[in-house]
Amino acid sequence: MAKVVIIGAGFAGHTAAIYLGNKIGQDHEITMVNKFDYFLYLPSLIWVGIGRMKPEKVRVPLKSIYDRINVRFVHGTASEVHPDGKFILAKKSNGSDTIRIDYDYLILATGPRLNWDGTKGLGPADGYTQSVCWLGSAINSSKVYCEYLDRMRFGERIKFVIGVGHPESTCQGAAFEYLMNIHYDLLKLGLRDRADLLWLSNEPVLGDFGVGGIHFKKRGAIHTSENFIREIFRKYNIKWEVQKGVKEINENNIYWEDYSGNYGKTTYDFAMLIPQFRGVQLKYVDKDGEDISRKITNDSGFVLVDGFYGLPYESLHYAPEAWPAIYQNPTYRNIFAAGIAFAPPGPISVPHTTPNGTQITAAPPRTGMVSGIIGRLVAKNIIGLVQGNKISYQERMTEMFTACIASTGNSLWSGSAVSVIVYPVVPNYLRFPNGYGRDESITHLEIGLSSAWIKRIIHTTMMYKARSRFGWQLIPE
Amino acid sequence: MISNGSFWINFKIYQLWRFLVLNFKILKGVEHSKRLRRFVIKYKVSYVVNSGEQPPTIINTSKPPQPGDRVQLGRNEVEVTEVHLSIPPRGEFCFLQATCKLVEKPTKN
Repeated sequence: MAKVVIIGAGFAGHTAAIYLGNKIGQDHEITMVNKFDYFLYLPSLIWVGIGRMKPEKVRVPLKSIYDRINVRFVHGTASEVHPDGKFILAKKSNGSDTIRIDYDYLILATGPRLNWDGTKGLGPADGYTQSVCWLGSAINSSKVYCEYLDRMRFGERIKFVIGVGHPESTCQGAAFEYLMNIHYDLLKLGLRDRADLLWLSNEPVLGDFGVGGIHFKKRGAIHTSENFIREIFRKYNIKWEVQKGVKEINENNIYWEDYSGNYGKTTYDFAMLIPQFRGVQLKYVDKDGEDISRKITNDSGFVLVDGFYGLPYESLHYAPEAWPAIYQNPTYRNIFAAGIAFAPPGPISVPHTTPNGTQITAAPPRTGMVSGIIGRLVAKNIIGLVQGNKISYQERMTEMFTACIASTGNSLWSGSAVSVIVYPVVPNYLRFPNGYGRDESITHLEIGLSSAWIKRIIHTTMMYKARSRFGWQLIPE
Repeated sequence: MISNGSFWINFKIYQLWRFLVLNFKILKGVEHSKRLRRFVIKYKVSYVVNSGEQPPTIINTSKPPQPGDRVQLGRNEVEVTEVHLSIPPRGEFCFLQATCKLVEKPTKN
Protein backbone atom coordinates (compact mmCIF):
# COMPACT_ATOMS: atom_id res chain seq x y z
CA MET A 1 0.00 0.00 0.00
CA ALA A 2 1.49 3.33 -1.08
CA LYS A 3 1.32 6.42 1.10
CA VAL A 4 0.79 9.77 -0.57
CA VAL A 5 0.96 12.97 1.46
CA ILE A 6 -0.20 16.34 0.13
CA ILE A 7 0.70 19.56 1.91
CA GLY A 8 -1.72 22.37 1.11
CA ALA A 9 -5.35 22.30 0.00
CA GLY A 10 -5.35 25.16 -2.48
CA PHE A 11 -6.16 24.79 -6.17
CA ALA A 12 -3.23 22.45 -6.86
CA GLY A 13 -3.31 20.41 -3.65
CA HIS A 14 -7.07 20.00 -3.46
CA THR A 15 -7.31 19.05 -7.15
CA ALA A 16 -4.57 16.45 -6.61
CA ALA A 17 -6.37 15.15 -3.51
CA ILE A 18 -9.71 14.61 -5.25
CA TYR A 19 -8.05 12.85 -8.21
CA LEU A 20 -5.95 10.63 -5.94
CA GLY A 21 -8.77 9.95 -3.48
CA ASN A 22 -11.28 9.00 -6.13
CA LYS A 23 -8.85 6.83 -8.08
CA ILE A 24 -6.67 5.07 -5.50
CA GLY A 25 -8.03 6.24 -2.14
CA GLN A 26 -9.59 2.88 -1.30
CA ASP A 27 -6.42 0.83 -1.75
CA HIS A 28 -3.77 3.34 -0.75
CA GLU A 29 -3.31 5.89 2.00
CA ILE A 30 -3.80 9.50 0.87
CA THR A 31 -3.24 12.19 3.49
CA MET A 32 -3.91 15.89 3.18
CA VAL A 33 -2.25 18.28 5.62
CA ASN A 34 -3.71 21.77 5.58
CA LYS A 35 -3.54 24.73 7.90
CA PHE A 36 -7.24 25.49 7.44
CA ASP A 37 -10.18 23.09 7.46
CA TYR A 38 -11.68 24.57 4.30
CA PHE A 39 -10.84 25.06 0.64
CA LEU A 40 -10.85 28.73 -0.24
CA TYR A 41 -11.91 29.90 -3.69
CA LEU A 42 -9.42 32.77 -3.90
CA PRO A 43 -10.55 34.38 -7.20
CA SER A 44 -13.80 35.55 -5.58
CA LEU A 45 -12.09 37.28 -2.66
CA ILE A 46 -12.14 40.51 -4.66
CA TRP A 47 -15.92 40.53 -4.13
CA VAL A 48 -15.55 39.70 -0.42
CA GLY A 49 -13.08 42.59 -0.22
CA ILE A 50 -15.76 45.13 -1.13
CA GLY A 51 -18.54 43.40 0.81
CA ARG A 52 -20.34 42.13 -2.30
CA MET A 53 -20.00 38.43 -1.47
CA LYS A 54 -20.44 36.63 1.83
CA PRO A 55 -17.35 34.76 3.10
CA GLU A 56 -19.23 31.43 3.32
CA LYS A 57 -19.75 31.55 -0.47
CA VAL A 58 -16.02 31.14 -1.08
CA ARG A 59 -15.36 28.37 1.44
CA VAL A 60 -15.83 24.62 1.16
CA PRO A 61 -15.31 22.48 4.32
CA LEU A 62 -12.74 19.80 3.58
CA LYS A 63 -13.27 17.06 6.16
CA SER A 64 -16.63 15.82 4.86
CA ILE A 65 -15.37 15.74 1.26
CA TYR A 66 -12.21 13.86 2.15
CA ASP A 67 -14.14 11.34 4.28
CA ARG A 68 -16.23 10.56 1.21
CA ILE A 69 -13.26 10.02 -1.13
CA ASN A 70 -10.99 8.14 1.30
CA VAL A 71 -8.53 10.92 1.96
CA ARG A 72 -7.28 11.29 5.53
CA PHE A 73 -7.40 14.93 6.58
CA VAL A 74 -4.93 16.39 9.06
CA HIS A 75 -5.90 19.88 10.15
CA GLY A 76 -2.49 21.25 10.95
CA THR A 77 0.69 22.88 9.72
CA ALA A 78 3.58 20.93 8.23
CA SER A 79 6.90 22.09 9.65
CA GLU A 80 9.59 19.64 8.54
CA VAL A 81 10.19 17.33 5.62
CA HIS A 82 12.64 14.43 6.02
CA PRO A 83 13.23 13.26 2.44
CA ASP A 84 15.68 10.49 3.42
CA GLY A 85 13.40 9.05 6.08
CA LYS A 86 10.34 9.75 3.88
CA PHE A 87 8.26 11.43 6.53
CA ILE A 88 7.00 14.88 7.45
CA LEU A 89 6.33 16.49 10.80
CA ALA A 90 3.14 18.45 11.29
CA LYS A 91 1.68 20.31 14.20
CA LYS A 92 -2.05 19.78 14.61
CA SER A 93 -4.13 22.94 14.79
CA ASN A 94 -5.75 21.91 18.09
CA GLY A 95 -2.41 22.50 19.75
CA SER A 96 -1.55 18.85 20.38
CA ASP A 97 1.93 17.50 19.85
CA THR A 98 3.74 17.31 16.56
CA ILE A 99 2.82 14.22 14.59
CA ARG A 100 4.89 12.19 12.13
CA ILE A 101 3.34 11.25 8.78
CA ASP A 102 5.18 8.77 6.56
CA TYR A 103 5.00 8.96 2.81
CA ASP A 104 6.11 7.22 -0.35
CA TYR A 105 5.18 10.22 -2.48
CA LEU A 106 4.94 13.81 -1.33
CA ILE A 107 3.15 16.66 -3.08
CA LEU A 108 4.18 20.12 -1.95
CA ALA A 109 1.27 22.38 -2.83
CA THR A 110 1.81 24.93 -0.15
CA GLY A 111 1.03 28.00 -2.23
CA PRO A 112 2.99 31.18 -1.53
CA ARG A 113 4.21 32.80 1.64
CA LEU A 114 3.07 36.39 1.50
CA ASN A 115 6.26 38.34 2.17
CA TRP A 116 4.85 41.33 4.03
CA ASP A 117 8.26 41.98 5.55
CA GLY A 118 9.68 42.57 2.06
CA THR A 119 8.18 46.08 2.05
CA LYS A 120 8.16 48.21 5.18
CA GLY A 121 4.65 49.31 6.10
CA LEU A 122 2.92 46.86 3.77
CA GLY A 123 0.01 44.69 4.83
CA PRO A 124 -2.97 44.76 7.14
CA ALA A 125 -1.20 43.28 10.19
CA ASP A 126 1.82 45.51 10.76
CA GLY A 127 1.34 47.99 7.95
CA TYR A 128 -1.07 50.48 6.50
CA THR A 129 -2.44 48.73 3.41
CA GLN A 130 -5.29 46.31 2.83
CA SER A 131 -5.16 42.87 1.24
CA VAL A 132 -7.47 40.48 -0.63
CA CYS A 133 -4.95 37.63 -0.60
CA TRP A 134 -6.65 35.71 2.18
CA LEU A 135 -10.14 35.44 3.64
CA GLY A 136 -9.55 37.24 6.94
CA SER A 137 -7.76 40.11 5.27
CA ALA A 138 -10.43 40.37 2.55
CA ILE A 139 -13.17 40.63 5.22
CA ASN A 140 -11.11 43.28 6.98
CA SER A 141 -10.60 45.14 3.68
CA SER A 142 -14.34 45.26 3.11
CA LYS A 143 -14.85 46.81 6.57
CA VAL A 144 -12.24 49.48 5.93
CA TYR A 145 -13.66 50.06 2.44
CA CYS A 146 -17.14 50.59 3.93
CA GLU A 147 -15.72 53.15 6.38
CA TYR A 148 -14.29 55.06 3.43
CA LEU A 149 -17.65 54.86 1.67
CA ASP A 150 -19.22 56.57 4.69
CA ARG A 151 -16.61 59.29 4.56
CA MET A 152 -17.31 59.80 0.87
CA ARG A 153 -21.03 60.07 1.60
CA PHE A 154 -20.16 63.01 3.84
CA GLY A 155 -18.49 64.67 0.88
CA GLU A 156 -14.86 63.68 1.43
CA ARG A 157 -12.70 62.90 -1.61
CA ILE A 158 -10.80 59.62 -1.28
CA LYS A 159 -7.80 58.37 -3.21
CA PHE A 160 -7.69 54.62 -3.81
CA VAL A 161 -4.33 53.14 -4.81
CA ILE A 162 -4.46 49.54 -5.99
CA GLY A 163 -1.64 47.46 -7.43
CA VAL A 164 1.46 45.68 -6.22
CA GLY A 165 3.56 46.48 -3.18
CA HIS A 166 6.99 45.11 -4.01
CA PRO A 167 9.37 45.47 -6.99
CA GLU A 168 9.11 41.70 -7.61
CA SER A 169 5.43 41.12 -6.90
CA THR A 170 3.13 39.11 -9.11
CA CYS A 171 -0.64 38.53 -9.32
CA GLN A 172 -1.41 41.88 -10.95
CA GLY A 173 -4.65 40.32 -12.25
CA ALA A 174 -6.21 40.10 -8.79
CA ALA A 175 -5.27 43.71 -8.04
CA PHE A 176 -6.73 44.78 -11.41
CA GLU A 177 -10.00 42.99 -10.59
CA TYR A 178 -10.19 44.64 -7.19
CA LEU A 179 -9.58 48.07 -8.69
CA MET A 180 -12.24 47.57 -11.36
CA ASN A 181 -14.76 46.27 -8.81
CA ILE A 182 -14.17 49.30 -6.61
CA HIS A 183 -14.82 51.48 -9.66
CA TYR A 184 -18.02 49.61 -10.47
CA ASP A 185 -19.22 49.61 -6.86
CA LEU A 186 -18.61 53.34 -6.46
CA LEU A 187 -20.41 53.95 -9.73
CA LYS A 188 -23.45 52.01 -8.53
CA LEU A 189 -23.44 53.87 -5.20
CA GLY A 190 -23.20 57.22 -6.97
CA LEU A 191 -19.86 57.97 -5.28
CA ARG A 192 -17.48 57.51 -8.18
CA ASP A 193 -17.11 61.27 -8.70
CA ARG A 194 -15.68 61.59 -5.19
CA ALA A 195 -12.95 59.01 -5.74
CA ASP A 196 -9.57 59.06 -7.44
CA LEU A 197 -8.46 55.64 -8.59
CA LEU A 198 -4.81 54.86 -9.27
CA TRP A 199 -3.15 51.69 -10.60
CA LEU A 200 0.39 51.33 -9.24
CA SER A 201 2.43 48.49 -10.65
CA ASN A 202 5.87 47.02 -11.33
CA GLU A 203 4.89 45.96 -14.86
CA PRO A 204 7.16 47.14 -17.71
CA VAL A 205 4.06 48.36 -19.57
CA LEU A 206 0.39 48.62 -18.72
CA GLY A 207 -1.41 45.32 -19.37
CA ASP A 208 1.71 43.19 -19.00
CA PHE A 209 0.20 41.22 -16.05
CA GLY A 210 3.47 39.38 -15.51
CA VAL A 211 3.01 37.32 -18.69
CA GLY A 212 4.85 39.68 -21.03
CA GLY A 213 1.64 41.29 -22.30
CA ILE A 214 -0.88 39.74 -24.64
CA HIS A 215 -1.23 40.18 -28.39
CA PHE A 216 -4.52 39.19 -29.93
CA LYS A 217 -6.29 39.39 -33.24
CA LYS A 218 -9.45 41.39 -33.65
CA ARG A 219 -11.05 42.14 -37.02
CA GLY A 220 -7.84 41.14 -38.78
CA ALA A 221 -5.57 43.49 -36.84
CA ILE A 222 -3.20 42.70 -33.98
CA HIS A 223 -4.04 44.47 -30.73
CA THR A 224 -2.06 44.61 -27.52
CA SER A 225 -3.16 44.25 -23.93
CA GLU A 226 -1.38 47.55 -23.28
CA ASN A 227 -3.74 49.48 -25.57
CA PHE A 228 -6.71 47.47 -24.36
CA ILE A 229 -6.15 48.24 -20.65
CA ARG A 230 -5.17 51.84 -21.39
CA GLU A 231 -8.45 52.29 -23.24
CA ILE A 232 -10.41 50.89 -20.28
CA PHE A 233 -8.56 53.06 -17.76
CA ARG A 234 -9.08 56.17 -19.86
CA LYS A 235 -12.76 55.43 -20.31
CA TYR A 236 -13.26 54.81 -16.58
CA ASN A 237 -11.04 57.72 -15.52
CA ILE A 238 -8.52 55.51 -13.73
CA LYS A 239 -4.97 56.83 -13.59
CA TRP A 240 -1.96 54.55 -13.78
CA GLU A 241 1.70 54.46 -12.86
CA VAL A 242 3.80 51.51 -14.04
CA GLN A 243 7.52 50.61 -13.90
CA LYS A 244 7.50 51.37 -10.19
CA GLY A 245 8.78 49.16 -7.38
CA VAL A 246 7.27 50.01 -4.02
CA LYS A 247 9.94 50.23 -1.34
CA GLU A 248 8.17 51.58 1.74
CA ILE A 249 4.78 52.75 2.92
CA ASN A 250 3.72 55.00 5.75
CA GLU A 251 0.25 56.12 6.76
CA ASN A 252 0.04 58.79 4.03
CA ASN A 253 2.54 57.92 1.31
CA ILE A 254 3.77 55.05 -0.80
CA TYR A 255 7.48 55.40 -1.57
CA TRP A 256 8.79 53.83 -4.78
CA GLU A 257 11.71 53.61 -7.12
CA ASP A 258 11.09 53.70 -10.86
CA TYR A 259 12.88 52.08 -13.82
CA SER A 260 15.27 55.05 -14.15
CA GLY A 261 16.30 54.77 -10.51
CA ASN A 262 14.37 57.87 -9.44
CA TYR A 263 12.73 57.82 -6.03
CA GLY A 264 9.29 59.27 -5.51
CA LYS A 265 6.09 58.98 -3.55
CA THR A 266 2.38 58.62 -4.13
CA THR A 267 -0.19 59.77 -1.60
CA TYR A 268 -3.14 57.55 -0.74
CA ASP A 269 -6.15 57.17 1.54
CA PHE A 270 -6.99 53.52 0.85
CA ALA A 271 -4.41 51.15 -0.61
CA MET A 272 -4.54 47.48 -1.53
CA LEU A 273 -1.13 46.31 -2.70
CA ILE A 274 -0.19 42.69 -3.44
CA PRO A 275 2.99 41.62 -1.59
CA GLN A 276 5.89 39.63 -2.98
CA PHE A 277 5.31 35.87 -3.07
CA ARG A 278 7.94 33.57 -1.63
CA GLY A 279 8.03 29.86 -0.93
CA VAL A 280 6.55 28.56 2.30
CA GLN A 281 9.27 28.05 4.91
CA LEU A 282 9.38 24.31 5.45
CA LYS A 283 12.50 22.82 6.96
CA TYR A 284 14.10 20.05 4.90
CA VAL A 285 16.27 17.75 6.99
CA ASP A 286 18.45 14.83 5.88
CA LYS A 287 19.18 11.61 7.74
CA ASP A 288 22.03 13.25 9.68
CA GLY A 289 19.83 16.08 10.86
CA GLU A 290 21.42 18.59 8.44
CA ASP A 291 19.31 21.27 6.81
CA ILE A 292 19.16 20.40 3.08
CA SER A 293 16.75 23.14 1.99
CA ARG A 294 19.32 24.27 -0.62
CA LYS A 295 18.96 20.93 -2.38
CA ILE A 296 15.21 21.19 -2.61
CA THR A 297 14.33 24.87 -2.83
CA ASN A 298 15.73 27.98 -4.49
CA ASP A 299 16.70 31.19 -2.69
CA SER A 300 13.09 32.33 -2.56
CA GLY A 301 11.92 29.07 -1.00
CA PHE A 302 10.18 27.67 -4.10
CA VAL A 303 10.67 23.95 -4.76
CA LEU A 304 13.14 23.04 -7.49
CA VAL A 305 11.64 20.70 -10.06
CA ASP A 306 12.58 19.38 -13.50
CA GLY A 307 13.16 22.78 -15.11
CA PHE A 308 16.49 24.25 -16.21
CA TYR A 309 17.43 26.94 -13.77
CA GLY A 310 19.88 29.78 -14.12
CA LEU A 311 19.41 30.51 -17.83
CA PRO A 312 19.61 34.19 -18.75
CA TYR A 313 16.30 35.73 -19.81
CA GLU A 314 17.32 35.85 -23.49
CA SER A 315 18.11 32.12 -23.52
CA LEU A 316 15.01 31.22 -21.57
CA HIS A 317 13.02 33.10 -24.18
CA TYR A 318 13.93 30.52 -26.82
CA ALA A 319 14.01 27.48 -24.57
CA PRO A 320 10.45 26.30 -23.96
CA GLU A 321 11.89 23.04 -22.68
CA ALA A 322 13.49 24.87 -19.78
CA TRP A 323 10.06 25.04 -18.13
CA PRO A 324 9.26 22.02 -15.96
CA ALA A 325 7.13 19.24 -17.44
CA ILE A 326 6.39 16.81 -14.60
CA TYR A 327 7.09 19.00 -11.54
CA GLN A 328 9.32 16.39 -9.91
CA ASN A 329 12.25 17.29 -7.67
CA PRO A 330 15.47 16.09 -9.34
CA THR A 331 17.19 15.12 -6.07
CA TYR A 332 14.28 13.36 -4.40
CA ARG A 333 12.16 11.91 -7.15
CA ASN A 334 9.27 11.04 -4.88
CA ILE A 335 8.74 14.74 -4.13
CA PHE A 336 6.57 16.79 -6.47
CA ALA A 337 5.64 20.46 -6.31
CA ALA A 338 2.39 21.81 -7.69
CA GLY A 339 0.89 25.25 -8.15
CA ILE A 340 2.71 28.29 -6.83
CA ALA A 341 5.05 26.06 -4.76
CA PHE A 342 7.27 25.09 -7.72
CA ALA A 343 10.17 27.29 -8.75
CA PRO A 344 9.76 28.76 -12.24
CA PRO A 345 13.02 28.88 -14.23
CA GLY A 346 12.73 32.65 -14.69
CA PRO A 347 10.37 35.54 -15.32
CA ILE A 348 7.99 35.74 -18.28
CA SER A 349 7.98 39.53 -18.25
CA VAL A 350 11.06 41.44 -19.31
CA PRO A 351 13.25 41.81 -16.21
CA HIS A 352 14.68 45.20 -15.30
CA THR A 353 17.43 46.36 -12.98
CA THR A 354 17.52 50.03 -12.06
CA PRO A 355 20.79 52.03 -12.00
CA ASN A 356 20.65 51.62 -8.21
CA GLY A 357 20.63 47.84 -8.60
CA THR A 358 16.98 47.26 -7.69
CA GLN A 359 15.29 44.45 -9.59
CA ILE A 360 11.86 45.61 -10.79
CA THR A 361 10.40 42.54 -12.44
CA ALA A 362 6.89 41.17 -12.41
CA ALA A 363 7.23 37.53 -11.27
CA PRO A 364 5.43 34.82 -13.30
CA PRO A 365 1.83 34.41 -12.17
CA ARG A 366 0.32 30.95 -11.65
CA THR A 367 -3.42 31.32 -11.74
CA GLY A 368 -6.01 28.94 -10.32
CA MET A 369 -6.38 27.17 -13.65
CA VAL A 370 -2.61 26.67 -14.07
CA SER A 371 -2.33 25.41 -10.49
CA GLY A 372 -5.28 23.06 -10.97
CA ILE A 373 -3.81 21.64 -14.18
CA ILE A 374 -0.47 21.00 -12.46
CA GLY A 375 -2.25 19.42 -9.49
CA ARG A 376 -4.15 17.06 -11.80
CA LEU A 377 -0.98 16.21 -13.74
CA VAL A 378 1.02 15.42 -10.61
CA ALA A 379 -1.85 13.32 -9.21
CA LYS A 380 -2.16 11.32 -12.46
CA ASN A 381 1.59 10.70 -12.55
CA ILE A 382 1.59 9.49 -8.94
CA ILE A 383 -1.35 7.21 -9.78
CA GLY A 384 0.78 5.91 -12.68
CA LEU A 385 3.76 5.36 -10.39
CA VAL A 386 1.67 3.57 -7.79
CA GLN A 387 -0.13 1.36 -10.30
CA GLY A 388 2.48 0.74 -12.96
CA ASN A 389 5.65 2.49 -11.89
CA LYS A 390 5.61 4.97 -14.76
CA ILE A 391 5.09 8.67 -15.39
CA SER A 392 2.92 9.30 -18.45
CA TYR A 393 1.81 12.91 -18.29
CA GLN A 394 3.68 16.13 -18.81
CA GLU A 395 2.62 19.69 -19.49
CA ARG A 396 4.85 22.71 -19.47
CA MET A 397 3.59 26.24 -19.01
CA THR A 398 4.91 26.78 -22.55
CA GLU A 399 2.26 24.26 -23.71
CA MET A 400 -0.48 25.11 -21.27
CA PHE A 401 -3.74 26.88 -22.01
CA THR A 402 -5.35 29.16 -19.48
CA ALA A 403 -8.39 31.37 -19.24
CA CYS A 404 -8.49 34.05 -16.60
CA ILE A 405 -11.70 36.01 -16.18
CA ALA A 406 -11.09 39.29 -14.40
CA SER A 407 -14.25 40.75 -12.95
CA THR A 408 -14.88 44.44 -13.59
CA GLY A 409 -18.33 44.51 -11.97
CA ASN A 410 -20.09 41.61 -10.25
CA SER A 411 -23.68 42.10 -11.45
CA LEU A 412 -25.10 39.55 -13.90
CA TRP A 413 -27.27 42.26 -15.46
CA SER A 414 -25.11 45.37 -15.62
CA GLY A 415 -21.67 44.05 -14.64
CA SER A 416 -18.78 43.10 -16.86
CA ALA A 417 -15.49 41.24 -16.86
CA VAL A 418 -12.37 40.95 -18.95
CA SER A 419 -11.80 37.52 -20.50
CA VAL A 420 -8.09 36.85 -20.76
CA ILE A 421 -7.65 33.74 -22.88
CA VAL A 422 -4.00 32.82 -23.29
CA TYR A 423 -2.40 29.97 -25.13
CA PRO A 424 0.25 29.11 -24.14
CA VAL A 425 0.74 30.78 -20.75
CA VAL A 426 4.47 31.25 -21.34
CA PRO A 427 5.23 32.44 -24.89
CA ASN A 428 6.65 29.64 -27.01
CA TYR A 429 8.58 31.32 -29.82
CA LEU A 430 9.59 28.04 -31.41
CA ARG A 431 6.10 26.66 -31.74
CA PHE A 432 4.51 30.00 -32.62
CA PRO A 433 7.13 31.98 -34.57
CA ASN A 434 4.81 34.99 -35.04
CA GLY A 435 6.84 37.30 -32.83
CA TYR A 436 4.45 36.95 -29.89
CA GLY A 437 4.96 33.27 -29.08
CA ARG A 438 1.26 32.59 -28.73
CA ASP A 439 -1.52 31.15 -30.86
CA GLU A 440 -3.33 34.14 -32.39
CA SER A 441 -6.47 32.15 -33.14
CA ILE A 442 -7.02 31.33 -29.46
CA THR A 443 -5.35 34.10 -27.45
CA HIS A 444 -7.96 36.76 -26.85
CA LEU A 445 -8.89 39.70 -24.67
CA GLU A 446 -12.41 41.05 -24.39
CA ILE A 447 -14.52 43.04 -21.96
CA GLY A 448 -18.25 42.63 -21.62
CA LEU A 449 -21.23 41.30 -19.72
CA SER A 450 -20.74 37.86 -21.27
CA SER A 451 -17.44 37.53 -19.40
CA ALA A 452 -19.22 38.38 -16.14
CA TRP A 453 -21.58 35.47 -16.83
CA ILE A 454 -18.60 33.20 -17.47
CA LYS A 455 -16.93 34.42 -14.28
CA ARG A 456 -20.03 33.53 -12.25
CA ILE A 457 -20.39 30.15 -13.99
CA ILE A 458 -16.74 29.38 -13.23
CA HIS A 459 -17.28 30.30 -9.56
CA THR A 460 -20.29 27.97 -9.32
CA THR A 461 -18.74 25.05 -11.22
CA MET A 462 -15.42 25.31 -9.37
CA MET A 463 -17.19 25.23 -6.01
CA TYR A 464 -19.13 22.18 -7.26
CA LYS A 465 -15.91 20.52 -8.38
CA ALA A 466 -14.20 21.33 -5.08
CA ARG A 467 -16.98 19.39 -3.34
CA SER A 468 -16.14 16.40 -5.58
CA ARG A 469 -19.79 15.91 -6.48
CA PHE A 470 -21.15 13.70 -9.28
CA GLY A 471 -19.49 14.40 -12.64
CA TRP A 472 -16.77 16.67 -11.24
CA GLN A 473 -14.22 15.10 -13.61
CA LEU A 474 -16.04 16.69 -16.57
CA ILE A 475 -15.33 20.21 -15.32
CA PRO A 476 -11.96 21.47 -16.60
CA GLU A 477 -9.55 22.92 -14.05
CA MET B 1 -20.10 61.66 -15.01
CA ILE B 2 -17.92 58.57 -15.23
CA SER B 3 -19.67 55.81 -17.13
CA ASN B 4 -19.26 52.05 -17.07
CA GLY B 5 -18.14 51.66 -20.65
CA SER B 6 -19.63 51.55 -24.09
CA PHE B 7 -23.03 50.45 -25.31
CA TRP B 8 -21.80 47.07 -26.62
CA ILE B 9 -20.39 45.97 -23.26
CA ASN B 10 -23.91 45.72 -21.90
CA PHE B 11 -26.01 45.08 -24.99
CA LYS B 12 -27.59 41.76 -23.93
CA ILE B 13 -28.21 40.12 -27.32
CA TYR B 14 -24.71 40.94 -28.54
CA GLN B 15 -23.27 39.72 -25.22
CA LEU B 16 -25.18 36.43 -25.55
CA TRP B 17 -23.43 35.95 -28.89
CA ARG B 18 -20.07 36.83 -27.33
CA PHE B 19 -20.79 34.39 -24.50
CA LEU B 20 -21.04 31.58 -27.04
CA VAL B 21 -17.94 32.75 -28.92
CA LEU B 22 -15.86 33.00 -25.73
CA ASN B 23 -16.95 29.59 -24.52
CA PHE B 24 -16.05 28.16 -27.91
CA LYS B 25 -12.62 29.78 -27.69
CA ILE B 26 -12.06 28.40 -24.19
CA LEU B 27 -13.08 24.88 -25.24
CA LYS B 28 -10.89 25.15 -28.35
CA GLY B 29 -7.94 26.16 -26.15
CA VAL B 30 -8.56 23.28 -23.73
CA GLU B 31 -8.78 20.85 -26.67
CA HIS B 32 -5.62 22.24 -28.32
CA SER B 33 -3.75 21.90 -25.07
CA LYS B 34 -4.93 18.27 -24.71
CA ARG B 35 -4.14 17.27 -28.30
CA LEU B 36 -0.77 18.91 -28.31
CA ARG B 37 2.12 16.87 -29.60
CA ARG B 38 4.40 16.77 -26.63
CA PHE B 39 7.99 17.71 -27.14
CA VAL B 40 10.27 14.86 -26.26
CA ILE B 41 13.62 16.37 -25.36
CA LYS B 42 16.63 14.70 -26.86
CA TYR B 43 19.49 14.95 -24.42
CA LYS B 44 23.00 14.74 -25.78
CA VAL B 45 25.04 13.73 -22.78
CA SER B 46 28.81 13.85 -22.73
CA TYR B 47 30.08 11.41 -20.10
CA VAL B 48 33.52 12.33 -18.79
CA VAL B 49 35.29 9.98 -16.40
CA ASN B 50 37.49 11.76 -13.87
CA SER B 51 40.29 9.21 -13.74
CA GLY B 52 40.75 9.30 -17.51
CA GLU B 53 40.53 5.52 -17.80
CA GLN B 54 37.60 5.88 -20.15
CA PRO B 55 37.53 8.25 -23.14
CA PRO B 56 34.68 10.82 -23.13
CA THR B 57 31.55 9.32 -24.63
CA ILE B 58 28.49 11.06 -26.06
CA ILE B 59 25.16 9.27 -25.68
CA ASN B 60 21.76 10.41 -26.93
CA THR B 61 19.00 9.79 -24.43
CA SER B 62 15.45 10.87 -23.67
CA LYS B 63 16.04 11.09 -19.92
CA PRO B 64 18.64 13.36 -18.32
CA PRO B 65 21.14 11.60 -16.04
CA GLN B 66 21.10 12.37 -12.33
CA PRO B 67 23.91 12.16 -9.77
CA GLY B 68 24.03 8.58 -8.50
CA ASP B 69 22.87 7.02 -11.79
CA ARG B 70 25.00 4.15 -13.11
CA VAL B 71 25.76 3.95 -16.82
CA GLN B 72 27.58 1.30 -18.85
CA LEU B 73 30.24 2.90 -21.07
CA GLY B 74 31.88 0.19 -23.14
CA ARG B 75 33.27 -2.35 -20.72
CA ASN B 76 33.23 0.02 -17.75
CA GLU B 77 30.36 0.84 -15.46
CA VAL B 78 30.46 4.41 -14.20
CA GLU B 79 28.54 6.38 -11.63
CA VAL B 80 27.42 9.94 -12.37
CA THR B 81 28.70 12.39 -9.78
CA GLU B 82 27.75 15.75 -11.31
CA VAL B 83 25.60 16.97 -14.19
CA HIS B 84 26.14 20.33 -15.88
CA LEU B 85 24.12 22.06 -18.53
CA SER B 86 26.74 22.74 -21.20
CA ILE B 87 24.47 24.52 -23.70
CA PRO B 88 21.00 25.82 -22.78
CA PRO B 89 18.17 23.81 -24.34
CA ARG B 90 17.26 24.85 -27.86
CA GLY B 91 13.93 23.52 -29.02
CA GLU B 92 14.02 19.79 -28.59
CA PHE B 93 17.76 19.52 -27.94
CA CYS B 94 19.64 19.83 -24.72
CA PHE B 95 23.35 19.32 -24.16
CA LEU B 96 24.58 18.04 -20.82
CA GLN B 97 27.92 17.08 -19.41
CA ALA B 98 28.01 14.33 -16.82
CA THR B 99 31.11 13.89 -14.70
CA CYS B 100 31.52 10.27 -13.61
CA LYS B 101 33.71 7.95 -11.61
CA LEU B 102 34.43 4.33 -12.34
CA VAL B 103 32.47 1.82 -10.32
CA GLU B 104 34.90 -0.54 -8.69
CA LYS B 105 34.12 -4.14 -9.44
CA PRO B 106 33.94 -6.43 -6.39
CA THR B 107 37.15 -8.45 -6.05
CA LYS B 108 36.86 -12.19 -6.42
CA ASN B 109 38.24 -14.26 -3.54
